[in-house]
Amino acid sequence: MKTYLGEFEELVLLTIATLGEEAYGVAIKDSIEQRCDRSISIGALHSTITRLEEKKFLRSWVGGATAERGGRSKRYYDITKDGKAALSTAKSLRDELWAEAKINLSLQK
Amino acid sequence: MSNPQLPRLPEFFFNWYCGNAGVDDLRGDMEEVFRRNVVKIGHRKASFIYYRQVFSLLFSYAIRKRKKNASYHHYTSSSNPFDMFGNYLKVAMRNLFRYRYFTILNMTGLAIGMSISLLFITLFVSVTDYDEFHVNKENIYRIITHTNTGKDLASAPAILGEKLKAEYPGIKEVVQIDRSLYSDEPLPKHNIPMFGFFADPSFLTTFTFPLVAGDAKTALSDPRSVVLTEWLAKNIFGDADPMGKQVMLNNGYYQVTGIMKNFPPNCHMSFHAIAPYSNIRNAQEDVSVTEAWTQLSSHYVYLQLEDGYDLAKLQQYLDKVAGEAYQSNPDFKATFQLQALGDITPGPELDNSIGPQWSYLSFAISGGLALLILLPACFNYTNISIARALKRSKEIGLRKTLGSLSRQIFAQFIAETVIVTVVSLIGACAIFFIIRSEFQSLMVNASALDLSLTFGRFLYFLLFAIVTGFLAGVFPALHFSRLNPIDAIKNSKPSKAFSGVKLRKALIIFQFTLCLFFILSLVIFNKQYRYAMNFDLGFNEENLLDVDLYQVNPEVVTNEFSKLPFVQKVSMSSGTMGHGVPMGWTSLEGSKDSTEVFYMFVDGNFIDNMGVKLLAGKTFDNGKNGETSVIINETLMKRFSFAGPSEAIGQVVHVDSLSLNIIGVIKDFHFWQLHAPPGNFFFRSNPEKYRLANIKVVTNDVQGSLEVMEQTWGKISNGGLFTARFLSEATAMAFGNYITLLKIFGFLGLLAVSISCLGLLGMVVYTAESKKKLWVQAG
Repeated sequence: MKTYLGEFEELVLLTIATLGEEAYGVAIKDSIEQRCDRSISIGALHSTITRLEEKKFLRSWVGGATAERGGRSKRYYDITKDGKAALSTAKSLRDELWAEAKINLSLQK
Repeated sequence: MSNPQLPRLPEFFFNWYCGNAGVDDLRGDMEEVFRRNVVKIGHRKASFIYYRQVFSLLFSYAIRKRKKNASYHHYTSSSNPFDMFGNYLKVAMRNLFRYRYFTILNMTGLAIGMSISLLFITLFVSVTDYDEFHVNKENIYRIITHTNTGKDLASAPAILGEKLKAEYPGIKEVVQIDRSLYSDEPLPKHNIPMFGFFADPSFLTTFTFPLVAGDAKTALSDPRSVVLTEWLAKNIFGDADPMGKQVMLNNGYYQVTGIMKNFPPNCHMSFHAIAPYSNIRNAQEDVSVTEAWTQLSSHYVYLQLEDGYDLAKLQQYLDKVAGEAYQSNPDFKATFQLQALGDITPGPELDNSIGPQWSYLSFAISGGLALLILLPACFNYTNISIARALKRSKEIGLRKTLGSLSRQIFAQFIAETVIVTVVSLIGACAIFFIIRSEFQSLMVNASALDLSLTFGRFLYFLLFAIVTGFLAGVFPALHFSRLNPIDAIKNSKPSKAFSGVKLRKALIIFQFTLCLFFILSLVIFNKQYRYAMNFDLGFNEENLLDVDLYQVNPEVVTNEFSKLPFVQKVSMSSGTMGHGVPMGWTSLEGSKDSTEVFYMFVDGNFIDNMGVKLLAGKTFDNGKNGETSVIINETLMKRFSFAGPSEAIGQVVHVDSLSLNIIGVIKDFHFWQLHAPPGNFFFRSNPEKYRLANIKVVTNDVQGSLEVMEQTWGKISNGGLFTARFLSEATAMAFGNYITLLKIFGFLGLLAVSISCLGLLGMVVYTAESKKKLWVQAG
């Protein structure tokens, strides 16, 4: 399966993986903003999530509502098998490139 | 702080935009961030961020995708609307074929209804490109006059043009035009009505009237030169070269120095010849200044300005001039206004127009009439469509159940109607071609119009057909799109389906009122016409033949024609009886009180010949020379306060510095229009003024006697033109306006009636069809 995985898409997938059971909209956004030190718009995030769902890399379900959300439910996300496959393809491609790099990519001398 | 308020506007908008798509989690996400932000950075900044979030989501793929998933049908929010459009067309065609009968009814009605509108559109388009052929059209202006008597005139005083020429700098050209050029006597052997302008030589360079012979710059430099149109030149000189030839005009002979190409019909001026203005400029110098400013009848001032000229300043100057010019005149005031060439046709209604005129008012009226015919046709469609709601409600119910949205049903019905109107357009065009020539022959102004069908005009037609389709289809479409699918499918008691009953009734009533209106006006016009034709005019117009004298001696005519066996009597007159007469002033001897009076010059045989009743006295003596006597009518007799006819005879009246004896009194007759009361009138007698020979003919062979008379005429006039018409024919011609109106209204009435009948037929057929089932079941 040859599906291109964009940089932001990969980032979102991995973040969802790190969040585990608690992966929903705001949590994903917070986590990415914290780690990458950049501000992302909620529209862009949800667009990417929607596309990932379309590609069957993610599955989602509606979960518990909390008071701080005005009683609105959360939508939780989880990586599918396809998603894991796509991630590992991306990773192995990178590993391979790292390994075969002709110059020293290490920052330490 | 525990429960901060979300900004309402974006929240509401977001909700509305997303509709039934599941966005609960997204709203939750946004609210969570908002609450956190309120605590962290305050309400205002949090609100700002909330706005930004809503905005970014609205345009995000996430919302689009969710909306799409939430819709009934996967085509609903399709990014390609043409798929659906194709489907509308297909379904529409099927429906139209299925209900062929109604389709044909509707199309016939719409074709008839649209034909008149097509005529109007063509008329409108062709009038809007009036005067477009002038190269300098952007910079040509005309000065029009508004008087304190409430008249708006296309003309302006000559003295204003002279003043502008002399005083106001920076005007490229001032073109003075006077309409008084005409040929007093018809050109030898050619009875051509000819009229033209005295105009400044710059007329030929300012306006774009190209010459085929002669030089535009010098053609009018000699005072006795004249430029003719090709049409006139051909009529006078035939195929011979007209250049350098002489033509006789109202004040002498002129030499032809130029031949102008026939100008296109869409020109606001009409003329056959142009002579230099200098011929009449001298005549104006005799008039006093005060009077010169009031002479507005036949003179026009046109200006050619430079590009980007300051019009406001010129207008200010004109206002100032008007103020000064009429200061000393207590009775008469006027103001001047600049009118761009492009605003003349179509333009405001002006008196004294220089050529064929199309005013806004005439457009409004003809547009209104076109609409009066179009609307019933649209109503037919609306009516029949709504009435058939029952039949189609199942189809609509099913479509809705399968996921059609209201607006899709709406689009479906509009598409259907537009197809019907576009197909009807073909029929409408066919009718348009038939009525076009008839229309042009009826309307005097229309004959000067180009009503041919060009590609651009056809596009207008198409656009019009689509708009009409929308108009006719909007009611049924709204009606059907609102149907409740469950009711529609159950089809038990169609409470909703018949909600259009009131509307339908109103439409039918309107249609038949319109029909009645047309029929009634037809009846009234017809009656009026018959009344006019059969009215006792006070004189006998039977068997009277009017022959134009031209320059032939009246005495010779009388002698020669009297010899013919079928001629009973010959008389002479200055005009045609009953068709308008000149007016003058008269006063009784010893009195300063002068009275308006209409008059006609006739000889001694006239009164008897016409069957006018002589109450007292005698008729003119033919042998006498010079003008010595008058015969007055009863009304004038009463005006002069004579007790009876016998008292009036022998009295003296003054007319045009003549003292004339009253030698007879006649009974009133209608020398003027029917609806006008008989006015003051007298007959005068002066052989020099005779223009017509009135010949009483008693014969069974009209054609044969006409031929004999033509031969006789040929002998006495050396082969001159013989123009004769029966007085009763001439009277009918004078009432030609009635006939035109009768024809137009008759035709429109016919259209309106046939449209309404088509509508009714549709309703009847429909009712019969739907009742048939009931009857079969009952049986």
